[in-house]
Amino acid sequence: MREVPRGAFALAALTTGLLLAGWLLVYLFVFLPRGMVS
Amino acid sequence: MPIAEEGIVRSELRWAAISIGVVSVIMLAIIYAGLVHHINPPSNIETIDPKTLHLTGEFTEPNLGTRVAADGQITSRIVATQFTFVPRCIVLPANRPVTLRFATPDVIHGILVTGTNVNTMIVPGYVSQVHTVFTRTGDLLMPCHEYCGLGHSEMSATVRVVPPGDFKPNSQGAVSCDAR
Repeated sequence: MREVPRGAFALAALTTGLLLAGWLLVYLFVFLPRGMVS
Repeated sequence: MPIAEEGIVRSELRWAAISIGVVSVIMLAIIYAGLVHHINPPSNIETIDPKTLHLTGEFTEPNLGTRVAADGQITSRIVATQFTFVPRCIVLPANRPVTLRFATPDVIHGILVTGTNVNTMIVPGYVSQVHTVFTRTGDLLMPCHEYCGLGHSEMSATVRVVPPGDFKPNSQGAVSCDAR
């Protein structure tokens, strides 16, 4: 790991986490309240 | 294995675990929505002849719009055509299971009902069917969401969701926006 800065992992984790959090927010507060469909 | 390489392998494995975790969370959420909230993609496969759908059968003009069957089942039939819906307004009750059925005689269209999960393509040769329960009353916009030609932007209809007490079919079981 000498050649890879730790900040790169932190940034990757942060952006992936934000993306997942955004998906979950839309899922919980937009998708589910819009009701059943089949 | 050199120490630097070991570290890289460890971080790769860690990222693989995180990726599997993220995909698992999303898949579990989708399964939960399907099983508990009954939110599933419409999966009806039913063919119809687009050349004659307006002449015989279910999608002739007198059958279009909302009908309540003898068994109480509420169905709305709509033809999507360049560049309008027939009828342009349908009435449906809130908090009751309803079925929307669509067909087209010309090109591919698509619909969504704003503020709900109702969303389907309408493909020539097939009947598109969506089951849903509307929980909010009011006039909901139902635009065509699949580019279908020069008049596409003008192609929209209204889904009028009324309280169950205001949903009054006539003697033929029909309910239309004009009658209200």
